[in-house]
Amino acid sequence: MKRLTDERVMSELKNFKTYQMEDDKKRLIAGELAQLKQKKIPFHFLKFYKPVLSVFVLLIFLLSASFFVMNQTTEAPAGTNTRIQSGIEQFMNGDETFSIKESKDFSLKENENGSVLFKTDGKTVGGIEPLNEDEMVKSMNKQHIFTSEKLDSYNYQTTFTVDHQKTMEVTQILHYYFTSPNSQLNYHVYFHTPFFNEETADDLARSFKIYKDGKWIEGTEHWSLSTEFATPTFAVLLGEKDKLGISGPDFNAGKTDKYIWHFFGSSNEVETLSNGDFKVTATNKETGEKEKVLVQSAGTNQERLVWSYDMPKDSPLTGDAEVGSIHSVPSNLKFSKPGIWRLDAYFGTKRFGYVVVDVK
Amino acid sequence: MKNHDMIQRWFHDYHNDIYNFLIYYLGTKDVEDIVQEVFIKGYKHMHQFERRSDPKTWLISIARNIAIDHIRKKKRQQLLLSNLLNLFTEKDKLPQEWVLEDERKTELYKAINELKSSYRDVVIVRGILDYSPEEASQILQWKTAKVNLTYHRAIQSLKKKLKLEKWSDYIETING
Repeated sequence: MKRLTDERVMSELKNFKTYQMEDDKKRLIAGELAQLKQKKIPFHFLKFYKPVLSVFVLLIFLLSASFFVMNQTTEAPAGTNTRIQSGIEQFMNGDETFSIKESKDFSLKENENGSVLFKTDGKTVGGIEPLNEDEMVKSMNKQHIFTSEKLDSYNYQTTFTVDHQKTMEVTQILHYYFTSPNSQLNYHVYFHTPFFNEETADDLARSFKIYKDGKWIEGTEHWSLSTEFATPTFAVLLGEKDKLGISGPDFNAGKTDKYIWHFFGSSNEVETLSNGDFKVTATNKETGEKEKVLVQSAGTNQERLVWSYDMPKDSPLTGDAEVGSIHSVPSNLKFSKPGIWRLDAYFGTKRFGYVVVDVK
Repeated sequence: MKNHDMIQRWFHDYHNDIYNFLIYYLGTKDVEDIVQEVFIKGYKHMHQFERRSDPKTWLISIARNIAIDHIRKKKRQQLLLSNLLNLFTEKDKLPQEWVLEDERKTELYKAINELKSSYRDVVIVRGILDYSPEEASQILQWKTAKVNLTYHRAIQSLKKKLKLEKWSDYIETING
């Protein structure tokens, strides 16, 4: 048996066939090579097109990058101009002012930055500050919110929150956020309990007014006349469908007439309705004054105007099947003068709703 | 002689050397384009050519560089294709599948291709193409001593592979 030696492997290797290039292929390449001289220039171009292309691409990239950076840097100072101003800045630079009803219980202390504090015996019991949208959200976020609701019966679009404090001086803080219909500002009006209670706070909050160039901006939407609507039982009422309505004759100044208030809703409304005394405040659109319009003991010589009818708390609700209401309250109303009046209906301290009527 | 005439002369003299080198190096007979590429590159880099050395080995060293580039490119393309299209469900067509005239030679060539690249290079140049150690040293740009040593080791390695594949029995029945 022969061994596989190096020599054998090597000789085997040398035995590989040697190929000859085919003649036509050979001629083709020879022809190409003969033309090399003429092709020199395109070859130079070909040689450089890759680096040229990459340099070009790099340049474009650099240019766009530098443009981007320049845009960024030029935008930054421009941004300071359009930067959202704080509420205080907006207020100071703006043309709005505000007012709230004065009271002898506390004094108003105006700060240099335009905000106001309510002071009594050197203690702060509330205040007013202008805020922008963000600040308003922040302000709400840091509260221990007990209730938060959007109210639609104030002069301006309102968010009301109750913030539990439970400190020595303050039990709760009642926050009202009034959105100015005119600017980006939100006026934060807050009251500390127990110095204020819901009623007094609400009363003051309602007196809050925003002025532009010294002119009072009316919260327009709350002065549009209430319209008649039909209940599911085909009774026609004046007011707001599915909330409250009044049935009775046309309104005439100086004349006492009987009107029935009908209230609609479900559990939330029931809670409001069970709050006690039925109170109506009538606000004249012209003067903004609040007047009594409820008539007690009508038709007798003890007839007089009152703020509210006594009604025990949690007294049973008296729904009227004819109009499908959950509660109905008969009343006598008398207006001192003609004009547009807004009637706000309350149960206890809770406000139920309002109707705007035209008194002849 | 001008470069231009020189390259045509070289082509005339050495085209088969380049042709054979590329065939065995790349494992395919479809190498005419690369032969042309080699001469064009040789023409463009003529100024780098040292007059003392042999143009044949210089051109083969160029051919080797180009061939290595081609192998890389091919690998990359195959990778891309098999990744993207999953076309190559069967095994990639490697040079080993190139069928030589003789079955035994095919086996041997396969074994050569399985060697590590420096062994493979030296076996092709020194063995198959039968260049002298000096020529091989110029082609591979190694020292002659390295060529000899590497060739020796490559042969040992090749022998081992062939034994494993029972090629020794085969060779005996043929030669013995």
